[in-house]
Amino acid sequence: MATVTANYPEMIRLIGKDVSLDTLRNDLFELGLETEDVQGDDVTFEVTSDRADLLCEEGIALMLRTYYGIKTGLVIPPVEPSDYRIIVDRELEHIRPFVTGAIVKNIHFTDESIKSIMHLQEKLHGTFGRRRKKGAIGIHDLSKLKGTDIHYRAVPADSVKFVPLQSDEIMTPAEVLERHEKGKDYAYVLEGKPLVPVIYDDEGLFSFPPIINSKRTEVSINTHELLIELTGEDLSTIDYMLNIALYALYIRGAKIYGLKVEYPHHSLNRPNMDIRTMRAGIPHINSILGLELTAVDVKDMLLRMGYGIAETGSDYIIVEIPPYRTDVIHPRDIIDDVGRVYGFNNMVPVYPNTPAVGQLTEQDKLNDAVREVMIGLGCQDTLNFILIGKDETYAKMNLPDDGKAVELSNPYTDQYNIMRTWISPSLMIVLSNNLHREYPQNIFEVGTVAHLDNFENTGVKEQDHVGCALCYSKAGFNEIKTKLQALCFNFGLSDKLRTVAIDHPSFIPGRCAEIYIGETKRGIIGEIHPQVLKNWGIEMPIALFDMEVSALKTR
Amino acid sequence: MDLSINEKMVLKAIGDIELTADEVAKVSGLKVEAAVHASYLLEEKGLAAVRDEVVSEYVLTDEGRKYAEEGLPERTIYNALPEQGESLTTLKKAFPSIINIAMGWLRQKGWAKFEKREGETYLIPQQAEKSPDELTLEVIYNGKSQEGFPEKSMKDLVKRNLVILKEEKEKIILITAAGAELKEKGISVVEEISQLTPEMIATGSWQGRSFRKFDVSAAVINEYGGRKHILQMARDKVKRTLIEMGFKEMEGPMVDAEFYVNDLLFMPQDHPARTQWDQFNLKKPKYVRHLPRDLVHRVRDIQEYGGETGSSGWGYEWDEQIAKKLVLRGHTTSLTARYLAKYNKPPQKFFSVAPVFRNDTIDVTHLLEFYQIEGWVMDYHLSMRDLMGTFREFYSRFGIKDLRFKPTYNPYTEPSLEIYGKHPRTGRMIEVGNSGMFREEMLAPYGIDCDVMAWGLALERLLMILYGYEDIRDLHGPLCNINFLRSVPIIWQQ
Repeated sequence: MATVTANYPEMIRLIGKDVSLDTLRNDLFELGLETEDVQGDDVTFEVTSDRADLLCEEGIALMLRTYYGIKTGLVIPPVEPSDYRIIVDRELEHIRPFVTGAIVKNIHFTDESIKSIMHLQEKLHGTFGRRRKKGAIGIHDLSKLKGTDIHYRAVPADSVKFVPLQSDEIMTPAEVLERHEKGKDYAYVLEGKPLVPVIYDDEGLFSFPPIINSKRTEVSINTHELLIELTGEDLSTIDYMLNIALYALYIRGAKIYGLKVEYPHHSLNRPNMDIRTMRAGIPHINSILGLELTAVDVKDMLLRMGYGIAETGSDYIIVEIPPYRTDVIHPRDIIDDVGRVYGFNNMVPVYPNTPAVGQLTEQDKLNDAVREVMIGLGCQDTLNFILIGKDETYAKMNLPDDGKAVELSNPYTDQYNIMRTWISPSLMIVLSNNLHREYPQNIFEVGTVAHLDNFENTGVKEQDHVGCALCYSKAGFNEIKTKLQALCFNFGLSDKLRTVAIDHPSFIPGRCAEIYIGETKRGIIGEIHPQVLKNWGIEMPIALFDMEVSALKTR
Repeated sequence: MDLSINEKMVLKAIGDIELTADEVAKVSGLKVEAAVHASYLLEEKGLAAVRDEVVSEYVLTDEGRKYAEEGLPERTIYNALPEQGESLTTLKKAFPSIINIAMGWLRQKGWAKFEKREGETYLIPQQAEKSPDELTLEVIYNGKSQEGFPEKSMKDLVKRNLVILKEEKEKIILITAAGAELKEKGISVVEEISQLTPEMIATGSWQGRSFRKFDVSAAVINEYGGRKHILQMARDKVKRTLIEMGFKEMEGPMVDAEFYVNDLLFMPQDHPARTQWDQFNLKKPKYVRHLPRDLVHRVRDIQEYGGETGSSGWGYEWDEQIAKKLVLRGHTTSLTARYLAKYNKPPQKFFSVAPVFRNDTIDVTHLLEFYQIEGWVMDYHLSMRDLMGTFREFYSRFGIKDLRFKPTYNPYTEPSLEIYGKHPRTGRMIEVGNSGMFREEMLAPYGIDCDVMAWGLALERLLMILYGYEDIRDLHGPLCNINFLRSVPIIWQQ
């Protein structure tokens, strides 16, 4: 989740109403912003990923200004035309196809507001820009640009030189990608591309998106006019990001001028402040919220959320969606806004009248029954991770890797790189973590294991096993078989249980058997081999069994 | 007066004459420790007197023993001297190790005269009766009484490191008047029964005999019976609560296709949670075999342009191959996605409390896998008030009341609410869950024309909030402390 730090006195000034900090925080909570931290006058809020417009204090102030009724309804900055054009090379289609932008004048930066726009830029990059790949913003001092024709080109990375920001060196784009801090961070966006995107004015290169601007057009606190350009892989995303930035500047009194973007086969006027409309049914709103609002009620509430109203009927409303709200894609999104203005904490909860009968799954009931029996036999229940290390499952148990384990491609560490194929290694981990506590340590677990299986749609068979380990000085085959026998007895399977001798590297030869319930092999039982004990650093004998829980399903 | 059998035996053994503990043990036939213990018990009852005495005794050192057996060095040399005497040089050659020691003593005791002949020293034997130190050494060696011996000879032997003074504490036991009186009355020592046996019961041979008394207030060893794991107890309680509220349990795979984990939930394929680090992806197997075709087509339409839901969708090209990728589910909403396909007509109430996996970190409050609680309700005309009412009931069963709601965002619910509750002990408002009404884009592929609402939270978090546990690794996983598991109070099982 992204956060934004706002300055309380500044917010009050932008909102135009004096409210206490507590009231402000409370109202924002009701609207969906949680306060994360307060340091003097600076308040940090958590912003959910659907509301990029709230990633700056200007956006939050705009929301509160309409919410408090100071200026309700749709706020659309007027856009005057300008002579500026962005001309797009055709080669960019496979490099970084889209560009958008606007001219902004009447800027009067303060320390506060220049920081705000810089932070907003970074937050937009990190969220909607998908780390600059989907979209990246460049902000330039317009007075440093020559001419009104801006060229968006694709060139070889070593064919041109410029002085990038945060540097004094003249570099080619290739050198920037290699040596400049931002170049290294974002080179991945241009990986594998034969050319790099660059932006020129009459004087030369002034932007190397999405990496860095040139020093020539650097913005400072004395800048009064800006060119904002965005490039990216999705036009609607960069248009949206542009709108967010423009609103933040507009609320501080800037004036916006449009420009023309000329692609090889078509032109577009930008910025795109088109207003979408959407219809919502009043009964629908009332059904979802559980209220009895009239169309007039709804209209008033939506005006307070910055919507425009195109039309109201007795049971419907057609709204105009603000350009900074791309999260509104379905009437449900409008309903959510009505709910926020009404205040969800003002709604009275009611227990629904939905008839249904509760039930556990068969597997769960069986697992619980097995647990109960094992507890009755004096064993301590454990609950271990399903993720485990290959080492713990194979090498440490003296087993060769049989390739049957489900493997992760991005494990947290090697200790958790597969799903366990049997329960026993988990029990060994528990016992190896409790060497200095009282013995006997008789433990068990009923839990899920997994292995590859071509007959399953997912290619993985998941099933529940019960594993029991006895760990004390006299733990031996007799003792563990007694437990196994008791378990089977409790499920009426005494006459179906057989333990058939087998050799298994984890166990002492001659003291290991396969567990048969009826005709099929369902598990393994035996005394753990001292070499395995040594691998685990355990100096107490262990006898255990490990079997499929489904074997205990009677009839 | 009640005397144990050992006390009776000791009382019989002691008398007016002082006895050492060893002596009492010998007479009574008990082990020394038992005799001493019984003597103290008698002393407590005023029937005997026990005191410590320091007994000192001279004992031979190893060297002393050697000379006791072979003779003192000066005696050995003396015995080897011929009447006319012997040269020192010869003696040195014959007795290299003892000649130096012997010389001094020979001179001191007057057993030899030292003469110089032709520049050589000669030793001429004189009279040599058995000296007192030799006698003393003999006595000690033979273990005879050490009384009445000249202190000087002992001092000499100690000086020569042949003898050391050993001091030992000994217990001296004496009967008291009361003890003697009791003894007069007669002590019958009949063997007490230790363990009642089936044979004694059958034959009645226990009659007329007494049972050895136990110290019933003494401590006994700890027994750890079997018990349920604490998280399992919590899970049971949650399941029970939800069943009481009419919910049925779901089940389904942990390894599942992205289709069920994300795509059916209207999550765009380039959503950061899918493409970056939170999700565990599989190396093998990589892809699911089949996805239900009709669902796939409808999901594609809705994701790309909203289908017929009135939504604008995500406006991108949906890739079925991404949907087929296998992952470890990061939430149990994948189970809900599966169940909605099968149970698409109301009324329905389903839940699960099952493991989910997140590639996050392992620390005090995070694990790679944890239990997620998830519940959903399907019915006509469900509202946010119904949703709030449902989990209000759920949380109240755990003592969490005074809920507050904060609107939030989930890709697949709208509206969505974060649930805050009053911490049952600290009184602070903390987040206790997330909830929402499923978006119509999510319900449309199933042909569901009514409302579905859902909420969820992490089981471990609930447990930590309710009982103040601070380290999540104690509550789930093999990094646990077995003594912690053994000692969790049973309060959960209500």
